[in-house]
Amino acid sequence: MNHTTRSGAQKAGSGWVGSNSLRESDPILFQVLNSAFSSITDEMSALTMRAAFSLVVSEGGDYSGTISNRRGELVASGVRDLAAHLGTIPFTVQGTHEWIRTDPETYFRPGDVVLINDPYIGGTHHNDMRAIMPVYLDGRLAAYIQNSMHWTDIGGHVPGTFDPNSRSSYGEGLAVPPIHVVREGVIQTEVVDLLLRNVRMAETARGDLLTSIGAVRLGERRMQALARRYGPEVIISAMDELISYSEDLLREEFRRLPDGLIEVEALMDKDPGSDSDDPLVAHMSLTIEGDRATMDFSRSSGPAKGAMNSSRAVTISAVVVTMKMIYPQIPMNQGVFRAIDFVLPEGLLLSAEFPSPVSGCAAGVYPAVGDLILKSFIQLAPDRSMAGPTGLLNIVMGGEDPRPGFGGEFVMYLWLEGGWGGRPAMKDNATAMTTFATTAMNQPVELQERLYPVRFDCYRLEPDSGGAGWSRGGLGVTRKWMLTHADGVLSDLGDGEKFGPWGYAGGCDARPNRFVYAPGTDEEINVGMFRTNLPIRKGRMMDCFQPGGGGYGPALTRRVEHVLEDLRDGYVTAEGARRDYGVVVRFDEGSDSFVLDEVATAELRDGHEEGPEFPDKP
Amino acid sequence: MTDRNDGWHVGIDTGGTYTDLVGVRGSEQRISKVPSTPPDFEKGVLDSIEAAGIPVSEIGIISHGTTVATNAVITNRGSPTALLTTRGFRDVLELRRHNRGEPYDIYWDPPAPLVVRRNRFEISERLDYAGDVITPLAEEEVRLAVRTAARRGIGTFAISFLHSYVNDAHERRAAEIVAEELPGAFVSTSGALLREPPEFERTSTTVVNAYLAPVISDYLRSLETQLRQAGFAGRLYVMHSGGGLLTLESASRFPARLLTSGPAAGAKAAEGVAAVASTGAVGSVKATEVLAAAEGLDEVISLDIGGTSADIAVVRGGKASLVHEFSPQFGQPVRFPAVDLITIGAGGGSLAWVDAGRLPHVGPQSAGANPGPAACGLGGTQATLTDANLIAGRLPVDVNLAGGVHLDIEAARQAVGDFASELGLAMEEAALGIIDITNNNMARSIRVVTVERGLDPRDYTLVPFGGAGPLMAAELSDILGIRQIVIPVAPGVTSGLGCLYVDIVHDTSRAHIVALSEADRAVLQSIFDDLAEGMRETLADEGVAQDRQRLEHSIDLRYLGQVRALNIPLRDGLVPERFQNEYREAFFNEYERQFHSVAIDIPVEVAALRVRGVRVSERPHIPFGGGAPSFTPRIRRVLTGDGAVDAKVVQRASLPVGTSLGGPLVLTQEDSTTWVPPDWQAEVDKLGNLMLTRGEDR
Repeated sequence: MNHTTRSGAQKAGSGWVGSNSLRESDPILFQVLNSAFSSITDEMSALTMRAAFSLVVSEGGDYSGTISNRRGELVASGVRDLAAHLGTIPFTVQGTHEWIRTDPETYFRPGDVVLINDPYIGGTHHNDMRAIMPVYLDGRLAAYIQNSMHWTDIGGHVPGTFDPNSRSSYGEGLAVPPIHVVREGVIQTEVVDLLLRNVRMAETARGDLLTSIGAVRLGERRMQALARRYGPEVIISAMDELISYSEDLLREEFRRLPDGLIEVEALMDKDPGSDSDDPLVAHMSLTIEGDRATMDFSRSSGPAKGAMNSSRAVTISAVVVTMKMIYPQIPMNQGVFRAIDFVLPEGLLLSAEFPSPVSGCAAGVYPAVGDLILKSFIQLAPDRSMAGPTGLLNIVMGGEDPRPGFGGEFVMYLWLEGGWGGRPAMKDNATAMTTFATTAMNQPVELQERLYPVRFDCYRLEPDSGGAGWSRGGLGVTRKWMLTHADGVLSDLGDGEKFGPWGYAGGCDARPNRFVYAPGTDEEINVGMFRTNLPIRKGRMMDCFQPGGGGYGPALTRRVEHVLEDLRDGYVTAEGARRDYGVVVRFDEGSDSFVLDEVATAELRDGHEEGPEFPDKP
Repeated sequence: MTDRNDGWHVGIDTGGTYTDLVGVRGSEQRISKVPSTPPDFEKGVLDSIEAAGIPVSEIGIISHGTTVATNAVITNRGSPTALLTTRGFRDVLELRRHNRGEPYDIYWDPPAPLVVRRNRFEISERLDYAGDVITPLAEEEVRLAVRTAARRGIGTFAISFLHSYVNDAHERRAAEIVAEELPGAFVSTSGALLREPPEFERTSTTVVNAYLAPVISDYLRSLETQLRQAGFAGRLYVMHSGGGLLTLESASRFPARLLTSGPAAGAKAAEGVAAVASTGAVGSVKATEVLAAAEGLDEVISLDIGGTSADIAVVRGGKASLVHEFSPQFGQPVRFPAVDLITIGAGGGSLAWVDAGRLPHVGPQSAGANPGPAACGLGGTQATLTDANLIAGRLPVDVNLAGGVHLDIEAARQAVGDFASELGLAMEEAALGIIDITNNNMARSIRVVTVERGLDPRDYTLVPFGGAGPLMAAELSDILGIRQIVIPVAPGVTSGLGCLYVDIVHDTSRAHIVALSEADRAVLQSIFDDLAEGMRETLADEGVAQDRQRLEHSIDLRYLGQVRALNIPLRDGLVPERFQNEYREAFFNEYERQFHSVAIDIPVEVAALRVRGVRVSERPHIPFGGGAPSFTPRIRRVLTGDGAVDAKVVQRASLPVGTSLGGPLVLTQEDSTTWVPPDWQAEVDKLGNLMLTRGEDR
C-alpha cells in the first residue's frame, strides 16, 4: 500500500463523512438515494447495450457499469450487468490508486477517463477493458464511475486472444495498466491509435471504446445532478452507508446459521500447460462463528503453468456474486465483501501473480469457486442453494470471410448455456440458463450466420442431460455448426470435460462436456477444452455439448408423474427413464402417450418410496 | 369513412378493473365508468354504453382499447398451439436468449413457453442467410405434424423457419399444407408478421400471435354481434399497442398487436389533451393542425395511476414514443411497435412494508380492490398509499367517491400507525414517507422512459390521470424538476378519451444494409416509393380516402459494424440530392444526444427504411361544463414535507374558466382528487383542463 494514496483517501474522508446516521435519521431519503444510484447504473447499462458495436456486448451482454465511492469501494451496479465483473471493481479502482503512486485528486482531473485491463491491477482477463471516470462534487473527488466491456480481440496470435496454451501474461495480448484515454474532456488519439493498432477488428473496438466513454460520462453527469439536488455530503454518506447496510444484512444471515467448520472442494480438469492429467483443486474451509464467516482457500492448488489461473479479484468476485445469489435480497456492494474474512495467500491458482497466464479464469476458477459456495451453503441453508450448475466453455473462431460484401477477417465467439442444479426446496431447475453467475445472453443463430461464414445444424436441448434426482437438474444444450465458405481456426478454453456438474443428497452428477470435430468421419478429433488455433476445414461439422445441472435427492424417489411428463416432452428418453429413474414405460401409438409398466417399475425402484410433492417457492 | 357528425363517436377502454367511456357528438358529451366484467369483457363494454345513456343505434364509431389480449397471456387462457420449426431448432422458444428475469435468484424460474415441447415439431427444410434454399421443405413432415397436433386437439399453428425474414416461401407453403390438412385451422407465419431477425424474437412474436388469435377473434366477433343485436350500425375499431386503430379483420389476424391496447389509449389521451390544451382551441380540431400550432406542450409525460399499477409513457413532438418490442411476461417478446410505456406496481392500493434491514418499501404488492386500502373498510389492515394520502389530508374524508365509497380515516390511522411503529417514526411522518417513497419509485420509472432514451424530464409537461394521478403529480414533478402539469377535465375516464384521439396507423419497413457513402439515391428512393405505394393500398383497403392519408418516412442508421440502429425521422419521402450529408448529420446529432459521445471518423451505415401510414382523424374535445360563478372554500390541514399547512378544499367543477388559485389547495371531483402544494399555481384553461405551474425554485 502506498502512503500517498492512503493519506489522499484520508483527506477526502475527513472533510465529508458526517455522523453515520442517514439510514436512521432519514430512512426514506436513504432509500430514495439507494434507488437513484441503481437508476444511474441501469441507465448506463441501457446506453451500453444500445450503442455497443460488438455482438458479444450488444447481444451477449458482456459488460458492466458501476459506481464506487472515493475509496474505490463498490456502491451500485446495474441489474443486467455481467455479474463476474462486479466483484472485481473495487480491486480495479483500488489497484489503480496503488499504481499511480500519487494523490488521486492530482491524477484524476474532472473530465478524465482512464483505461485499464491489467489482471494484476484488479482486472479479470485482458479482453475485459475498463474505463474509469472520476466524479468531482464541489471540486472534490467524491466517486468513480466504471464501465467494463469485453473486447472481441485484444491482440496476440489467436483470433479473439484466448489462448489456453500461453505460458505467461505476455502471451495473452495487450496489457493496459492505467492510462488516460481522455484528459479533461479531450480524447487522446495517440492512445486510441496505440490500442487499435494491436487488436483485430479494430473498428469494432473503436466503437466499443466510444460507447464506454459515453457510458461513464453519463454516469458522471447523473451523479453531479444528484449532488446538486441533495448536496454532496448527503451523497457521500449515503454511498458509505449503503455499504454498511449490505454488510449488516449479510452478517444477520450468518448469525442465523449454525456455527461450525465446513470443508469443500471443487475439481477442474487439468492444467493445460502441464503433461500431468491431475485435476486442479479449489478448496475452501468455511468457518461460521456468530456473524462472522471466514473463507480460507489456502489448501487450493498452486499456480498452473497454462492459462487456468485467476487473479485474486476474480476469486473474490466469484464468492461475493455467489453469496448474492444465495441471498438475492441484499444489495450488491462492498458490504458483501466486508462481511466475509478472506484467507487467500498470494501465488495460488486462485490468486495468481504476474506473469501467470489467466485467460481461462472465467471458465475454470470462477465457476469452481462458485461451486465451493453452493456446496457449503447447500449444507448450511439448503433452501437457498442448489446442486452443481453447468460450467463455461469459450470458443473463438477466426479466419477470412470470402463472402461478397463481407470481406476481411472475422472473429466469432461462441459460449454455451446449460442447466442449473436441482434444488432442495423446489422443482427442477431451469434449463438453458446462462452460465452460473455471469448473466450473459446467447447470440442468435440468424445473426451469427449473417455476420460470419458459418451455418448451424442444430441448437437444442439434449435429452437425458439433466442430472437425475428427486429435483432434476436443468438440461444441457447441443450446438452443431460448420464453416461454410473457407477454412479457419478454432481455439477454446473451458472446463468440465472430466467432471460433470455435481449432484447432491443422492442426486446424480450431470454428463460432462463434449466437443468433437468432424464426428463420424476419418477426420474426427476430440477438440476437448484446450485448443489453440486448431485448423478447421470448411464443411466439417463441429458438435459441442454443454452440460445440464446436477440432480438433487435420489433419482429413484422422483415422482413417477414427473418422469412421465418429462418423457412426453422428450426431456427424458424411455431408455433414460429406465436407467436413471427406474421408470419403465412403453409408448402407445393409439393414445399418443407413455404407458407405465407398474410391475417392472416397482421392481427397478426396489422399495424406494416416491418423494414429496415439490413445495412452492420458499 | 363515417364523420363524427353522423353519430356518436365513442371511446371505450376496458381495463382490468374498470371500463371507461367517453362519447362525443357535436357539442354533446357523455362519460361513464363501470366495473369490467372478466372473463366476458364484452358485457362491461355494453354496460358502459348503457351507463352513459347513449342509444346504441346512434353511435357512428366505436374506438375500443382492451386488456383482453394481455389478460389471456398472463392467465394462460390462449389457445393450445403447435409450433413448426426448422429441424434442429424446436427449442429456440425455450432456450430464449438464455438470460434470467432475476439474474441473482437461484429460486427464480422463467414462465413456461406458450407451446410445450411435445407440440413443437421439427420440419426438414433450411435456407441460408441470403434466403437461398439449402434443404427443400419436406412437405410430408408438415402433414404428419399437423395430423399429430390435430389428434391432440390443437387447431392453432405457428410456423417459424430460420431466415424466413429474407424468404418466406417455405413458411407460406407449410401454411397451405396446414390449411389442406386441417381446414379452418388458424395459422400464423413468422415472415408474414415480421421481416427481421433474430429467430427467437420472431418465433416468440409468431407464437404469441397464434396463441391469442382464437381468443381475440372470438371476443371481437362476440362483441360485434352483441353490439349489432343492440342496434349498433356504425364502425368498430380496436386500438393496437402502437396507439393506432385496426379494423376487426386486422385485429383478428394480428392479435399480438393488441397487447398494450389499453395503456396505449392512455398515452394517446395525454397526446391529445396536451395538444388541445396548448392551442386553447375549442371544439373539434384536426390533429395535424393542433400539432403544427403547438408550442411547448408537445413534449409530455403521461402518467396513469390506478388502484394497483401506474402506466408511464412519453409524448415527443406531439407523438407518443414507440418501441419495437414489448413483452407481456419475461421471455415472451413481441416485436410490434408499441407505445414506449412501462407499468409499475404503484397505485392507490400499493402496500407499505418494512424489510429485514428495517427499511421501508411501498409496493409492488397491492391490496387491489379486495381487501383494498384499510380506509375502504373492506377488511384491509395493512397501510396503503391511499391511507397515507388520507392521513396527509390530501383525500377528502367527507366526499362520496365513485362507486359510493366512503373513506374511514380511523382505519387508515390504525394501519399507518402500525407501519410507523415498526420504523420508530411518528404516524404522520410515516404517511408522508409512504407518499415520498412512491413518488421516488415513480420518478425512477419515469427516468427509465426519459433519461434512458436521452430525454430530460425537465423539458416535459406531466399529464396525470387515473384516480390517483392528480394527487401525486405535483410532488412527483418536484422530484423530477418538471414545472408544468395539465390535468384533463375527467381524469378518471381519460383512457376512454384516448380511444377517441387515435388514428388508423400501419407500419412497414424494409431492411437495406449498405454503407451510407455507397448508398444509391435512386435505390433508396425506389424503396421508399415501393413502401409508400404498398402503404397507400393498405390504407385504401381500410377505406381511408386519399386526402386523409398521411405517410411518415424514417431511416434506421448506425455506425458501420454497430449492431443496433437509431431511427431518424425524415421530413418526407423524397431522398434529397445531398442525402448522405444530411442523413449523416442527423445521425450524429441524435447519437450524441443519446449516447454522450460521437465519432465523425467511423463510417455510417443504412440498416432499414420505414414508412408509417396514418389516417388522420379529427380529435373531438370534451366540452367543459363550466363552473358555478362563486365558491366557498373549506379549509383543511394538509401535511407536507415542510410541515402542516392549511389548504383550501374546493370542488373542481365550481371553478370557472380562467380561475387562477395558488396552493395549498385540494380540488375534488367524483373521479379524482388534485393536490396543489404551496408553491404551485392552479389555473383553469379555456377547455376546463387544470394547468398547474411551479413557482420559483425553492
